[in-house]
Amino acid sequence: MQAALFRALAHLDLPPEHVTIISGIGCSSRLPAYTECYGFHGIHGRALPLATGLKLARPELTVIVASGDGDAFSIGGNHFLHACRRNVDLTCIIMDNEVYGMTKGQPSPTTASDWDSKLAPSGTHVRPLQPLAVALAAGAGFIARGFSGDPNGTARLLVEAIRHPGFALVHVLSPCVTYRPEEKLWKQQVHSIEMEPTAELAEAARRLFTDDGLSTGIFYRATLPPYPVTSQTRSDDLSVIEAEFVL
Amino acid sequence: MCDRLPIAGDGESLRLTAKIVTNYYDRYAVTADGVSPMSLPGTPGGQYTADGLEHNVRGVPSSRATDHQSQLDKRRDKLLRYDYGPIWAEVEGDGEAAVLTWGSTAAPVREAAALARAQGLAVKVLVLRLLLPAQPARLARLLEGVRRVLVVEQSHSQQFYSYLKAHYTLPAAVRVLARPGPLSIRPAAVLAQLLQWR
Ligand SMILES: Cc1ncc(C[n+]2csc(CCOP(=O)(O)OP(=O)(O)O)c2C)c(N)n1
Repeated sequence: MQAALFRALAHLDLPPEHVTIISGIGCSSRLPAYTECYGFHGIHGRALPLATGLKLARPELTVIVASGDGDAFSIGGNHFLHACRRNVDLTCIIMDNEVYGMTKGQPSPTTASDWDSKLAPSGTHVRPLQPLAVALAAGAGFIARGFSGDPNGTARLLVEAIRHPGFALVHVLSPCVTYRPEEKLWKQQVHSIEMEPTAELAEAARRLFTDDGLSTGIFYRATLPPYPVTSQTRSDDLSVIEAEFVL
Repeated sequence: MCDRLPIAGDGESLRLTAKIVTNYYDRYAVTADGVSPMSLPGTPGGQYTADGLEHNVRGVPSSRATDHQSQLDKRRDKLLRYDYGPIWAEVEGDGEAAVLTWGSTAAPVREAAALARAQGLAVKVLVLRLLLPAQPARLARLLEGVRRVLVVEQSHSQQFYSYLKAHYTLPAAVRVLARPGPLSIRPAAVLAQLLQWR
C-alpha cells in the first residue's frame, strides 16, 4: 500500500509538504508515519472528521485518509456514511483485511460470517457489510477497489482518486498474513473488473452486487458538487488560523 | 529554527509557529518551558506525524525508554512551567469562613455568600477553575486567615473533596456539602450550612 501511495504521489508530482495523511487506529492507520508527508495518527474511527476539518480549513492541501475495515466500518461507520454524502474533496483509502489486525484477530464488519477463529468459534453468523455498495447508497462519487499486492494498479487508482473533485473511496484488499494467512491466496484470486467506470447509479449498483468482492478497478465515477469551501485561510501563522475559528 | 514569542502567562495561550530554516525539524524538541514550535502543513521541511504513540523528538514512533521518559517530562513541564495567571481560580470576598467549590455549584455558592454577608457573616468564595496541575502554593496564599472551609460539590462520593485532600493542605476545620444530582444544590442549602457553622 505504501509503495502504491508513493508511486501515485510521485506521478502527480505533489511535494510532500502539500500532502497530509490522516489516520485512525489500527495497523493500517500507521501509514502516515511511514511517509515524508504531514501526518496525523489520530483516534480510532475518527480520521474522516479530522480530515474533513483540515480540508475545509486548508483547501489547498491534498488530504488523504488512511483507514482499516475496523476503523472505517465499525467504530467509524457513521463518519464513513456522512463523509460519502458530504463529498468533501478527500481521498479515503481503506485497507481491508477482513479482521482487526492490531488487536489480534477479532472479526470485523467485512469478515465472512462463517470465518472460524478462536475469538469467534464457528464464525459470527453475521453477514458481512458490502462497503462499496454502502458508499454508493450513501452518495460517494468515486468508488474503486485495489489490491495491495498490485502496487502499480493501486497507484493508478489513487492517481484518479486524488484527481477526483470530491470524496473518493479506494478500498484496498490488504491481506493480513498474521491473522488471515489464507488471504495470501488473494494474489491468485483478484482480477480486474475490465470495464470503464460508469456514472450510472443503477449500473454501478448492478456491478457492485454481482461482484465477487475480489475485482479491482473503478466501479463508479460521477461528478457531483463537492462540499463548498468557505474558508479563506492562507496564513502560515497558527495564531491567525486559530483566531479565525474562535467562536 | 523558529520565532520564539515571549512566554505567555495570565491564561494567554501560547502558539509557536515553526519557521523552518534548515530542512530538519524536531516537532517535539525538548525546550526549557516544554513548548515546542509547530509547523503548519504546507511548510517545506516541516513535515512530521502527530502521533498518539510514544515518539522521539522528531515524532517518529519509538519504544525506547529514554524517549518515553523525556517526552513524558516535556509534557509535564509544559503544564507545570506555564503561568496560568489569576484565572486559575475565582476569588470573592474575605473572611474566616471560606467556601471551596468548582463548576456549576459556583453560582449557588456565590448567591449564598451574598445572603450570608447581608446577615453579617464574612465569607470568602473560592472557585477553582484549574484542577490540574494543582496550585498548592497559590491556594495556601488564598487560605491565609481562613479558619473554616466548607467544600460544596455536586457529587455523591465527594470526588472534589478527595481531590482537594490529595493535592492541597486545608485548614483543620472542614465540612463537606456533597449531594448527587439531578436536584441541584440551591443557595439556601449552602446558606444554612454557613449560618449553622459560625
Ligand atoms: C476507541 C477505541 N476503541 C477500541 C480500540 C482498540 N482497537 C485498536 S485497533 C482496533 C481495530 C483495528 O482494525 P482495523 O481498522 O481493521 O485495522 P488493522 O489493524 O486490521 O489494519 C481496535 C478495535 C481503540 N484503540 N480505541
